[in-house]
Amino acid sequence: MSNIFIDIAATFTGEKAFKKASNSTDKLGKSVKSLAKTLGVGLSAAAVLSYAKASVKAYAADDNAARSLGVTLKNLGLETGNTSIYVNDLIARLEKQTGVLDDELRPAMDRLLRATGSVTKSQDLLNLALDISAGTGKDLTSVSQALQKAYLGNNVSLSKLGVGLSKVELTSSSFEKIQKRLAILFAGQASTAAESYAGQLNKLNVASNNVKEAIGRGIVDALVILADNNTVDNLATDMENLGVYTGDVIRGFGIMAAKIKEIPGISGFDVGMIPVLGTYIKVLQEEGAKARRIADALKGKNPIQSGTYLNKPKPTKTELDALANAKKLAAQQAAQLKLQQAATKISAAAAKFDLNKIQIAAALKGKISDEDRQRLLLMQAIENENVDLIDKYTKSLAEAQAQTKQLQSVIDASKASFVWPDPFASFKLQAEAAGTTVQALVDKVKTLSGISFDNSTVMTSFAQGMLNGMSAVDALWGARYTGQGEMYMARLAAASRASNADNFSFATAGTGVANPNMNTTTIINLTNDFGSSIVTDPVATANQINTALQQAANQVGTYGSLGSGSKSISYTV
Amino acid sequence: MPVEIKGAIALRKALKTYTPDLAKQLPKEIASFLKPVVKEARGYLPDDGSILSGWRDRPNGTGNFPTYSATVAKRGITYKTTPSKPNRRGFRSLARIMNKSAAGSIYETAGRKTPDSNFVRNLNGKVSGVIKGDGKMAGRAMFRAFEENQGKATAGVVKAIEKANIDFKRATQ
Repeated sequence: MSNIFIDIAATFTGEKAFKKASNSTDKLGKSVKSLAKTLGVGLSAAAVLSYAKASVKAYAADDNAARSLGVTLKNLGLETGNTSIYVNDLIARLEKQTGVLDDELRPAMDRLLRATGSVTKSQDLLNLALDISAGTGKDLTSVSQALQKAYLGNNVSLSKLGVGLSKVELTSSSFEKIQKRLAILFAGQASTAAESYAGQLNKLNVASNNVKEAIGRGIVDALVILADNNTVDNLATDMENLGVYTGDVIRGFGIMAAKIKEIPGISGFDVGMIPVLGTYIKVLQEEGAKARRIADALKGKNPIQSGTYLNKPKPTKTELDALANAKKLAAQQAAQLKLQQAATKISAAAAKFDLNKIQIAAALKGKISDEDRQRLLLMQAIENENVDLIDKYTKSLAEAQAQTKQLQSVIDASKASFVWPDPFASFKLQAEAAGTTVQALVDKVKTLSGISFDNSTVMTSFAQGMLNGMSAVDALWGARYTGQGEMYMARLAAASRASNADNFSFATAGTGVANPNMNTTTIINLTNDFGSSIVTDPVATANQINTALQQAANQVGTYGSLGSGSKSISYTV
Repeated sequence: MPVEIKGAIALRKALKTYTPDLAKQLPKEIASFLKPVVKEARGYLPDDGSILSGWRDRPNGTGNFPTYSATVAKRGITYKTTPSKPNRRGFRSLARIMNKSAAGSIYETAGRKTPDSNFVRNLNGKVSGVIKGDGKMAGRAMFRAFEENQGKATAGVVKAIEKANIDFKRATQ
């Protein structure tokens, strides 16, 4: 195909290349992810190291905040021996309930304690701050700061939070009133937010952070224990010494292994060969391997995945019973559904071999009346035991029957009132009465039926028929043949003359021909105006010729006019 | 070079969704500006009698070179008002006049690159086809008609699209 065209106007919809590049980037991204999964094992060592670092950092920050809170309590004179424990428990509980990290809760509590000087009051305000934070979407730090300032008499910061209090309310009301109002406005926001999807994720985040902190603490403790020190002050020096020591030991192992290999009959080195120390190392190695296998078996069962961190309360007996009942009910329903499905399948399979249904389906495909169709559909519905369809088709059938009845009554009424007229009835009576002339008869026929006779032979034939007691229809029938014979004979005579080969003569029309060569076969070939043959009959006798001509004349009535040309008729001898 | 109209595809989609009557009207209006060019271009194609005798359509023609039939060639010059598929550079045509038949395309472009070839010389001697236009927009029939149209078709198409945009905004306000 040619490519000749003129673009009158066009619009830019973006290049294919951009799309290709985008697709390629996506594919590359997927491949890289897949590769990362494959290399996950290899990369996990680096990930562990990174996680360990983050854990130590998280523990350090948490420890710092906890100490800071403890110092605040002590400075405010609120430390009575177990206040710190109570506050830490409170924060831990709030953290689990709301999904807000203790990294935010501790500073907020610290801030409120400094403002109010009361643990109870601070606890109330912290709860309120959590509600407001969840309701407004502002972070807990901002909200707790605003509440702290408001408690100290500066309400401007509260207005910035957009808590729904007017300036008049904020300036004219006392903090207690404002607190009550806010408690009403934001009641239950924190708990609702904690139940949401985002809240659940936050809870996971909290748990993850707590795990991190716990691990970080474990790592620090382990290092302290390893250094055999009560503090980490000398840990760095100890670690350096340990490094050098370990390196020397490894080097020593290398030298020893090489020496052992030189002993004839010993092909390889095994730690167990070292007396006493080797036995201890072997035991430790076996313990380590055992611990590793246990860890492998428990892979994927860390506290986050198992969900133990959520500390869900144990369900009551009533709840357990209800759960068991629900499970039982669900199982029963599932079993019932399965049975129903099986029954439907069996029924569907059986339907394929049900002769009644097959016959009905076959009958429906044929040409049938509407009423019969309704009847068959009803039968089908009964076979299928479909109550809805049975109702539907019963109604349809009743309607169809009513319509048929109505139609029948209309037809009956029409039959009774309509009588086919006999155009010749009155005429026949007159003919039978006799005394009439042929011309009068002909005129009557013309008047009654519109038939006119332009041929005297035909007219005579008709009149004779009528006067001989024939019915008008029979008389006309006879006249028609007479006319056809007349016409044909006349034309045949003309053809005979035109051919210059005639030894024939026609005594009278319709009586046959006299053939001088009667012992030979004469063939009558009659053609119509269009040149197609009407009759081709071999004849031998004058009577046969006559019959053939009569037949030919009859055929003219069937196949059309003979036309005016003499060439349309020919015969051979 | 075609005129670039931004957002025309989106407009057509919007018309189809929100104002189907306007959507049906737009192609008709565009067509009214393209039809005169097509008619003129068809007129520049020679009749069967006036083409080179060896190029005429014949019952048992040999070879792959397409024979010339005036009927086929004239039928091949037509227009299109529906957006095309994007080309390599990301453009979609909004209205297009085409010379689709092989022989019509040959007559259209013969002489662009080889004006002194035997075929072109014989063709020029036989028919009075004048090449009009520049570069890839030069030709004897369609390009000539477009050149002689003096940008009326382009202006009309752009105006029709702009009008559809205004009508659409008015109808949906």
